[in-house]
Amino acid sequence: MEHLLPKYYQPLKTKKEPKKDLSEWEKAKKLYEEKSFKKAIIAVFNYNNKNTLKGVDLTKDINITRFHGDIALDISIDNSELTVSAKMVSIDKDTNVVALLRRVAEINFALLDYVSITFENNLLSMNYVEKIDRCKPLKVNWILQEFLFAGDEHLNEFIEKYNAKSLSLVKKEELTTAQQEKVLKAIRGYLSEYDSYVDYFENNGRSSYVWDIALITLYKISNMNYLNGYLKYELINKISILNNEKIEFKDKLIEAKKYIKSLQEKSDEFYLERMFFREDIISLLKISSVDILKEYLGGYFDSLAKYESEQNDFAKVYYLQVIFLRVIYNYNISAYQKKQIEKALRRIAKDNIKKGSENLIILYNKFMRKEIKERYSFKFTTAKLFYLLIIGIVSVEVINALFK
Amino acid sequence: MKLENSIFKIITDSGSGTGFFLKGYDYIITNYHVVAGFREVIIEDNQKNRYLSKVVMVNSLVDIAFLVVKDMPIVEKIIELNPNLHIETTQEVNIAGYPFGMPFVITNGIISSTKQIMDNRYYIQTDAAINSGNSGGPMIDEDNNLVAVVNSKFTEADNVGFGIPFSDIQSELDNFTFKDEVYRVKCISCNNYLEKRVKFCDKCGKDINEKLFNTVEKEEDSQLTKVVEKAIANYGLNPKLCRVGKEFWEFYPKSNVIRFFTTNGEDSFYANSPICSVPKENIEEALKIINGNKVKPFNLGIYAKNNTICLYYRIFQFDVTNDVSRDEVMHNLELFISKSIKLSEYFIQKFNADVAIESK
Repeated sequence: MEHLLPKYYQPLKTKKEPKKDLSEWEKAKKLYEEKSFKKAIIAVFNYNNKNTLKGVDLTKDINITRFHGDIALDISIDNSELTVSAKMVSIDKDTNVVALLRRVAEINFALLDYVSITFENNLLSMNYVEKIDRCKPLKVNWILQEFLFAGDEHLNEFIEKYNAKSLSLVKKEELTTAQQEKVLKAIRGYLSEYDSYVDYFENNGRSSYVWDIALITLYKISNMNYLNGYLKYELINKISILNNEKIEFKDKLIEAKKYIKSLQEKSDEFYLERMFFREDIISLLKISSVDILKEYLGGYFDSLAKYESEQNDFAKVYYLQVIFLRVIYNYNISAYQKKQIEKALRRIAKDNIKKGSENLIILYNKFMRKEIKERYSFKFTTAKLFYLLIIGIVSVEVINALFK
Repeated sequence: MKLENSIFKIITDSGSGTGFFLKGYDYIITNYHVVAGFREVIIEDNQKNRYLSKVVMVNSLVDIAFLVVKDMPIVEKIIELNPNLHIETTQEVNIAGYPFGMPFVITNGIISSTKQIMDNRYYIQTDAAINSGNSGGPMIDEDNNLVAVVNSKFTEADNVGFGIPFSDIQSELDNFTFKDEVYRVKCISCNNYLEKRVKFCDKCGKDINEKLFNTVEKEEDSQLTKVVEKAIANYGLNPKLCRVGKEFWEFYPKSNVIRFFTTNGEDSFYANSPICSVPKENIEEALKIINGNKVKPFNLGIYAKNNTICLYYRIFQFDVTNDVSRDEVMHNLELFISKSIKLSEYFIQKFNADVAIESK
């Protein structure tokens, strides 16, 4: 056990992630200033996902329905108003109406800012209407995110906790049997490793590390973006509790241990029911750049330096795992950056603690030097190019072109 | 007769303190440091009614200030100033005031020292709990005789608080005979009162700290402040009495509290008003109304922490100041105040709900 580190299974690839175009943001702001209000809104949609308005005649009034996670978003843009609405759930005789409606009123007041969930004709839905000349890009983006956050966080809570009735508006794409088996194996692997590590830490007087392994376990499961429903909301919630510095360490640990135990006891069917590929029109993760990541990772420098001076590879390797999982989990990083982190996380399971810590520090330093860019860049040294020329892989013309 | 009726919260842009009336005198007494830099402050009584008051005398050496307040209904003054009062150590005393800006509180302790010397002045030391916000409040004995005016505590020690002795207050009151509302600074050497900014006392020549004549430099009101205060004024209230901080207003047009505020670091402007507690009966119907989207452009929600139904209105800050939406927002804010009162009455009558805990 001493020489082993937790495994990291690469999540399944999904083709449904939003295709972001960051350059559209500045365009949206400029268009709004120029009073091209409708075009500014269109640019905000393009910024978030080029596919959202693909094939739509933008010269006419726009009326589209797009799916995000578990909600279907009805969007209308004409020359006077932007209207966004999303039906969530209906109620029937089995629904615990009082508890559900109280929860909705609490969510509206405490958790939502500008959008609210309303109850009309036995239906809970979200609606937002704004005059087009008041649709600043920042506002449009915020409103869209609020719709989607509310959908992600609450729709399944309403169904699973209060027996509200799903409207089944979203077509779910199931995983293949092989994919399902792979995911189940990964989940069971994480949960069983969690047990082994908790036993190991507690038997060796390192019970404070239980927090790391609990957080790592929850991060890894929640990082599987094809695990949906109330499970997704619960995972997000428990992670935020573990990261909440205002809650006493021992209390959050008790909560996390209890929750992980409940996950271990869930049947395969429980996970399979909540396992499907989802479509996202917006990434709800934080915007990232090499500078943002450098700043974020730099915040952990002092703690890492402390572990380094104490030669505590054990602490270092766990701390770095948490840090990198947080990057994957919180930031909208490029596929290339994600691949580099996942590669390092997968590799440490094969290494001993010293080697594992060295490899993660190398990756950390690369991010700090801003070498892990958004895209893979071909950097050829003169010597490498000369070698490639000799063995005939590149021609003199290619080299000339590269240096143009 | 209630002690709290003659003890007030003093609110400035810099924070809050306590002040009180003495039997036979027309001034509210507080600490100089509570009102330093202000000529006008807000006085809030125990029923959360607010009044504007003027600072008429400051003595920075003793840390005492006198305020006059007009338009306040007659108050029964309970605390007495007894020049022959005898005090001794271990004698019980009460500290009355508004610590941390909270509602009226009395704490109890003993006199630990009747003559504690600090910075060449004598103070009365107590072990009663004194906190930020108690400054300027009275320390009294069991017969409501003034023992001292609370003015400091050691921040890193427990149960160590100090007060300006009643005899010092007696001297200040005896010396000050003006009946107008002019701001005066007392010379710390000769008891002369100075009305205009001077470098030294024209009577005794003692240097006068010019800072005593300074007023807190107020930032120019933001565009948002102007819009919000115009809405409050349009409703018929004095915005000055409603402002409790930078871009933060809190007031009671009737029994329920209204709050308008922005949040640092966010782009939002909020209007909130707890209208009543969640009803105990017929709750399903009440919840259907709350979530029924019937109070546009406002919303109703439940604040789970204190089980209260709240009316709220949240918008982007730029919509408050934007040319295209400013007038509409101003109108909505005015409407928000009356809507809050009507909804409060509606829920209390229809659902037999209790008044909100924060109501006055």
